[in-house]
This record gives sequence, C-alpha cells and structure tokens, in this order.
Amino acid sequence: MLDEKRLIRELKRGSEEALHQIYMEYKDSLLTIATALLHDNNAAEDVLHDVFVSFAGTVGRLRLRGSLRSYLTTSVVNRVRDSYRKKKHRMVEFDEARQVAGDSGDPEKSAVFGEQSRQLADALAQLPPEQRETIVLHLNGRMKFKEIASMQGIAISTVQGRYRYGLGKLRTILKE
Amino acid sequence: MKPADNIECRIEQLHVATGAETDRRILSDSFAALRLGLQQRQLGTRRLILSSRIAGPAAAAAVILIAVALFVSVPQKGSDTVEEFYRTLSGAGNICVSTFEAGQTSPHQQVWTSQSLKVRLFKTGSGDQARFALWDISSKVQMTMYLSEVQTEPLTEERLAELEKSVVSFSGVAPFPDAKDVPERARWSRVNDPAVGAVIPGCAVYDLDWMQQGTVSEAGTCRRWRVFVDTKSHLPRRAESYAKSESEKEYRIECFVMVTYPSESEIQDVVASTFGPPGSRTGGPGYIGTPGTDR
Repeated sequence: MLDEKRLIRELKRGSEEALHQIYMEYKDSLLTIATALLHDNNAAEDVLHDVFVSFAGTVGRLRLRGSLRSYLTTSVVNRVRDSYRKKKHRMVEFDEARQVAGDSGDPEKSAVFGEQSRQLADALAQLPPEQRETIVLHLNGRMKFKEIASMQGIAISTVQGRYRYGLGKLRTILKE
Repeated sequence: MKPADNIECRIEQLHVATGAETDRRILSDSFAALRLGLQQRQLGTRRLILSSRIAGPAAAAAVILIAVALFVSVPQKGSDTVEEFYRTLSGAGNICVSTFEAGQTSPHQQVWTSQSLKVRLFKTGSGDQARFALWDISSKVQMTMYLSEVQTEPLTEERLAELEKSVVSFSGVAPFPDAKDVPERARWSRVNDPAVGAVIPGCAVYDLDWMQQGTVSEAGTCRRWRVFVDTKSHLPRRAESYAKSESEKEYRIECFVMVTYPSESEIQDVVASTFGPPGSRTGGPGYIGTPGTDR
C-alpha cells in the first residue's frame, strides 16, 4: 500500500523516485482500464503516456481531494473520452458507417488480451460507451457506484442501471 | 465454462501489462515534465509580479476584486455561509417548526410564529393531553389551554418588549438564536453525499459542526446540526441535531425539526381554532372558559 500523501509531498519537491513508485503501482491497472475502454492497445498506451506526463507536469498545483488512484483513473477516463470524440469526428468526416462503440472484431487490436479474454474484450467493445465505462470503472478500476456517479455527474441509480443493462447485454452477446 | 458465466469475475481478471520500452518512454517523458513543471512554477510567480505586461490587467483585477468585495458585503440571499443562512431565515415572516424525537413520527412540540401578526403559538403533546400556550403581542395577552381550560394573563409592558424581540428570532430552527452566537470555531460546510441529499429532494444540505465544552471534569461534546435548505427559497425545510463524545466515531441523532412556512391567514386559523378570534383575546384577569366562544 502506497503512502500517497508522502509520495505526493516528495513529488512536489521534484523526487523522480516518488514518480517512479507511483507509476509502477498504477500503470498496469490504468492501462487495463484504457485498453478495455478503447479496445485499442496503442491508443491506450498513448492515454497512459499523456496521463502521466500531464500529472508529472502539473503536480506542483495538485490539490488531491480523494485518492490518487481515483484521480489517475479519472484522468484516464477523461483522455479516453477525448479519444472517443476525436474518433467520432473523424468518422463523421469520412462518413463511415461504423459507430465509435462498434470497433469490435479487429484481431490486431484484441491480440493484447489472452485468447480466453478476447471474446470478452470484443463483447465489451460492442457496448455503448457509457455502459462500458461504468462496468470497467467498477470492476477494473475498483470504483464504487457512488464514486462513478460523482465522477460522471449523474445519479447513483443511473450508474447502477447502466451497470445492470451493460452486464445483461454482455451476457446476450457472449451467448450468441 | 460458458463464455457468459461469471462475467463479472472474468472482467475483473482482465489484465494488460506495459512493456519495458513503454515504461522507459513514459517515465523518461514524465521525469522531463516534472522538472519543467517545477521550474516554471518557481519562475512563474516572480515573472507574474515583475512583468510589465500584466501591470494593467493587475490594476483592473484589483478594481474587480474591490467591486466583488463590496458586492459580497451587501446582504445576499443564500446559505453559502452561516451568516447568509441566518439572514435568509430572519426574512421568513411566518413559520411553523415541528420538533420530533429521533425515531418518532409525531412531533412532541409545534411552534407557529408570525412576525406580522406578532403571535407565537406553542403546542406540546397531542390529542386530549395537548397543552397550548399563546403569546399575542398585539392583544397584549398570554394565554394557555390544557384539558379545554383556558387561562388568560395580561402582559406587562416589560414582558411585551421581551416577547416582541423573541418573536423575530427563530431559535426553534437553528441551534443558536443569531449568527453572532455561533462559536468561532464552528465549521459550516456543504454536504455533498447524494444519499443525504436524497432525504429531501430539492434541498442543499449543510452541516454546522462545533464542540460544546463541558465543565472542568467533563469532556466536551461534539455537536452537529444538519440543515436541509430549499434550493429555491434558501429557507430550511428540515434540520437534524446530532451529538457524539470525542472518543466516539459516529454521530447519533438526538432530534429533528420539520419547518413549513404557512401563510398569515393559516396561522390566524390555527390560533383561532384554539383560542378564538383575535377580537376575543383580551386581557381579562385570569379568564377561564371555553375558547372561541363570545364572552
């Protein structure tokens, strides 16, 4: 368990060792979240890169209200949403018929997960972004529904609904 | 195992690890960003002060700050501070405060106050055993009723002056009669827990926390007063009183009040149904009889 307050204090004084510890603690968890949301490992690595570079560059001004994990997870989600928006914009430009959430079935993108998880990752990618985000944040980001509701600025019941519907849809997809 | 089985466990088990090259790239760029960010931060303040380009905007900002300070000093309607809360509450002309013991559904006391009618009616208990007391400043009388027996006492000028002052304060709602009585170290804060906010929809919730000092031999009591403020009218609709000792973790609720804002005529009706219409409430010496009937 990291002593987050101490690490942030040291980081604000310029400690690279503190930054290294934080990175090693959270990198895989954040990359998993980004990959599950984007279904694209290269794009997920770019998100992880941007999140840490931005975090390191602005840590002097950081006023952490919750946990560092929650802060970094929120940063990942915000970057992923930016990525959705850019992707959506490109799609409109090129008049592509595919939806943002419908990027499933690309073997190259799915290869990052083991074979057993591939089906699941493909199924996740078919969910609407808000359902996918809720499921991934709850199960991979270990965030409570209350925290997700606060992050998304919606009622907790809506979060629970998205989670329930998302899981239901996943089951249907996987049974097909 | 079928693909759809244990879906939550399987999602939890998804794991992607970074490669060594990715780690090197991200850490290298992050270290550079860390150094740059800290350098900029150290230089930033000095530059901001010395740079002549910001002299003009700084002066403008100072003017704006003064204007904002002046604006803030004008009484505002709201609840962002405990002073604002009391100021808004003092503007409520007619009010009914029902006090409940924790866990009870019937109030053990109800108090109706009308600043414009200059009356305050107390009801304690319920049913046949209910006791009523009325301060009627306009009629210069104090009346009580218990078991259908009414007693009327004329009020002296001294007593009238005291009651007139008390009718404008709503000590039944807030724990302190005035903002200036709130302890200096008390903390007023907004409660952002959606579960608490859901108790009464359309309300913002605030906590006032303070330490009530005991005597030399006693430890202090931590007190919390939680108020649900209507987001439109900025008036309180419910308030809960909590307490705990310094060693306890959780507060326990002691009592709560529900607050409504009846019209002047509604308060008049409530008083008249108990003590008769205003014209009949005169200061006869020790009047005993049936309320509401001609005397």
